Amino acid sequence: MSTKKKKRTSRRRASSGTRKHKPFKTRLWRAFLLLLGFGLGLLAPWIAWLDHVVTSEFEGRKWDLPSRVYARPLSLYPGLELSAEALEAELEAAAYRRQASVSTPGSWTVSGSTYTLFRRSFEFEDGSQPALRVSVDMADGEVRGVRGPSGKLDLVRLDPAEIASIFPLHDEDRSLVSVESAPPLLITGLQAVEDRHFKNHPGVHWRGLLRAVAVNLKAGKTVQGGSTLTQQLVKNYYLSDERTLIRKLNEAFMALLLELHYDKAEILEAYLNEIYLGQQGRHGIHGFARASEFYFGQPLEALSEDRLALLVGMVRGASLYNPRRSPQRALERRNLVLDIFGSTGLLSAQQVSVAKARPLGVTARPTTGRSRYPAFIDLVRRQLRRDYREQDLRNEGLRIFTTLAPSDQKAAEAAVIEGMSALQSRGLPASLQSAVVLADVASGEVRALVGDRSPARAGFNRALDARRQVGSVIKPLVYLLALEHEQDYNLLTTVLDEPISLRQADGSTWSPDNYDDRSLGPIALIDALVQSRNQATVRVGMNIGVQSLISRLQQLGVEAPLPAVPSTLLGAVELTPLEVTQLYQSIAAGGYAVRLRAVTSVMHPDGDTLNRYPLRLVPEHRREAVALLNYALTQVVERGTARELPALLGSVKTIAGKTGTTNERRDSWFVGYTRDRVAVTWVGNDDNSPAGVTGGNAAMRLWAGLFRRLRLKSVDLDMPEGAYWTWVEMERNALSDPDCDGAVQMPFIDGTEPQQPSPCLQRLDRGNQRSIWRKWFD
Amino acid sequence: MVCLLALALSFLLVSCASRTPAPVEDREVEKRVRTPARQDSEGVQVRPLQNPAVIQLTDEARRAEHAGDFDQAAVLLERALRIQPRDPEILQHMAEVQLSKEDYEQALSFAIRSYDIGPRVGEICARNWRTIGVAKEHLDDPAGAREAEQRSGQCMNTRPAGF
Repeated sequence: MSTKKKKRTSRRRASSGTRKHKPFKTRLWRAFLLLLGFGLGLLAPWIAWLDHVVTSEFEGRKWDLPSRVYARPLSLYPGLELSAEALEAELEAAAYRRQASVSTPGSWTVSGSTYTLFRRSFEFEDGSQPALRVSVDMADGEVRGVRGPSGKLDLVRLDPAEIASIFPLHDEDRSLVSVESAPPLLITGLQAVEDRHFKNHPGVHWRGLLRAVAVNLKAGKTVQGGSTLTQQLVKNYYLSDERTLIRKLNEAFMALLLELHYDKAEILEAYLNEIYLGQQGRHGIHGFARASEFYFGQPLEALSEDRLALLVGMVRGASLYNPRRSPQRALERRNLVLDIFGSTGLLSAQQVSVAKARPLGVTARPTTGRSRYPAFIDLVRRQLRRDYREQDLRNEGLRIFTTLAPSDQKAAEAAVIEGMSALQSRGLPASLQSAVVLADVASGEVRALVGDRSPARAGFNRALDARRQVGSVIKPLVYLLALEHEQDYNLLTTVLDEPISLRQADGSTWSPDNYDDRSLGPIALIDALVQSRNQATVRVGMNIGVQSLISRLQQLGVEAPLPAVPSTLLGAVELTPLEVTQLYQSIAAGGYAVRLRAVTSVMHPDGDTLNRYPLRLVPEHRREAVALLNYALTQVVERGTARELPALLGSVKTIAGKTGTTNERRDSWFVGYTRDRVAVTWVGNDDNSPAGVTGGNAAMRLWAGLFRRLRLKSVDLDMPEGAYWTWVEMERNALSDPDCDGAVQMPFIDGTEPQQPSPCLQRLDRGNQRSIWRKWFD
Repeated sequence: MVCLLALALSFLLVSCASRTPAPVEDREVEKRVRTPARQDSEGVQVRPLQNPAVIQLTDEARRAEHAGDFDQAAVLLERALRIQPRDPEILQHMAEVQLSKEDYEQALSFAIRSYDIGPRVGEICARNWRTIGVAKEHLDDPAGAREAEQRSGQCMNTRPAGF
């Protein structure tokens, strides 16, 4: 209102200059002063109000800075086992662009077996790293050498892939970009096209505005905008698109005010993330990072010049130049923008002509914008929720460092997709679902997680939430407890695989069968495990006590209720794939339990570390028994229920594992580990109906599909203090010698090895004694 | 300019004052673990070849440790352990950093792990047991501490147990 009055006042003042009558002039002057005072009186609160609106709007958006979630950074060093395929998967995940020449950070190329890449600068917890151009020599699935500009390098850490942005407030993923990480061409190109004086004007560029007004008046309609980036940003804060003079003036004032409060970089960053670039249903597509995903299915950092030009061109009218609806108009607009890039020297003439020759490159259907790794991000959220109040997570722009290995995740997803379709073609139902957890043995860091047979689908996360009976997967824990009673059990102790009937709490009797409906009678303890004998396991378990199994499971981190009934010994307990992974991590690590982790640290944007989740080891007391169990589980793969695994893997490496099948073939489990990786795979129906699956026919195949894609290292079978390897003859439970037929090496806890020598050993000993006597006499 | 300089200087002074690490030779880990283990083990050295990437990280960790920044040292050693999770030398180094951080439980765990997969003889064995001893002492286990002391002496003898 007051602005209108002021206008009128000034017009009168302008006209008053032509009149000569003094009294009238005085009256006019008085009236002017009155109105001016009145105007100023209103103007001050008006401006104060505008100021309040614009700053609170701006601050409110700043408050929404999301937490950024990063994968584990890839460290490259000579000797690292890494296939070329895995390296490329890592580069792709970190939004590195493959280019003919590597001249800007975030690009890579390959020539022969040498990869050249330009690492981006990055702020890590333990210091900042500059951008760096490095060459990596690869051969036989290994990094052979790493070179930088000044020669050989021992270790190069890449900037980590950004795998999600978490808006804790709205519980949604959204992509944002900072000025530092935005492609330089976007920043300069945007200014070249929309606002060339951005760096210098105070929020409004008067000359530009006047020129626009003149042009528009002449044309009789709005042809030129003349708005600065700041004005456009202010305009973007309001949803309506009315074009009145008041609105224009308000915008101009607010732009000036915004520039008074914030610096150019802050304003530009807000612009990059707020500007309207399209519509998806009810939701507007705001910001270049989100638009990049929406139109190209790629992170902004990965966009080529022509694609950046399209997005810059769309600022002028997102629906007018919608590349999906009006591809021809969008193409013309893009090429016009590319010409501007060329004429302002941002691109060379050759770059412009190459870029103009490219198609629009827009994906047929918009991507959802959710994280590419929904299951893993779910785990990240849960780990954070343990330690952060919702309030804390709302903090602006936390940086969350996770353990995800993008190349391993890619392998796990491929294994699930390929494996599930293979199961289907082998006649298993199409309704089957699956889950995979892959973790690092020593550190407990979760490297990959799949919670659905369509890994990109968010929703029910079976890796964390499918609580299913585990079947024989529980048995190794029963045998571990037995081996801890070393006065009663070693790997060769005879156990009975014979029918057993137990009275249950409800008065009924429980008589477990073996899967082949046979009973093997007296067998060695190791064979009872290797061949997954139910009756023998129940007999051993009843001797140990169900309660001690339950205590151990709880000690290893199982929080679910565990029924104290004999059937628990055969895995009638419901666990999630993640819990099963936790149980086996400690076995695979030789009795050093660590809590599985998805997050290693959380940093504040100012560089302070808010939380660290360091490696914490919890040694188990009886690590000798764990070492014995490790060996027994390698025998499951070598000659037991998982003996098909080496052929499926096409590898002779020593691997440990255990299959699991539940009643009526509802669940298929496989748990396996190598020296450095432990993984659990599960297959079954969501409604828990019979699925026709066994541990061997489904989950183990998925597991093999995953590990075929990873580097395999043999399980470590060195004995800790208190256990050692010796030669025995299994059938006779007797000591033997490498020279004897049928002798095998087996680990024992000190003092529990067989006492009797085998007949062969006795003969050898006599021979040795004779030879010693002969030496005496010779 | 002068003002800025003065400001920078005062920041430096403040940062120095806020964390003056104890002289390296006075620290418990030097006095009770590293120095005696080194003295005992002259002539009995087991030093496996190390990966240059690991050497770079452990060198950085050592510098952080000297500067009294034990958190940083632990972060760097964790990175080294990602490269070589079963390296007894890194595990023992981590145990010693945990000792300096006064996290005696973890010092104990890492030292035991290092011993379990290490050579169980020589200087590193002595450092393993000395760390275990110091940690147990702080964890109110004097009997365990005495036993560990004794074990550290045996690191230089004959065949270690378990072989």
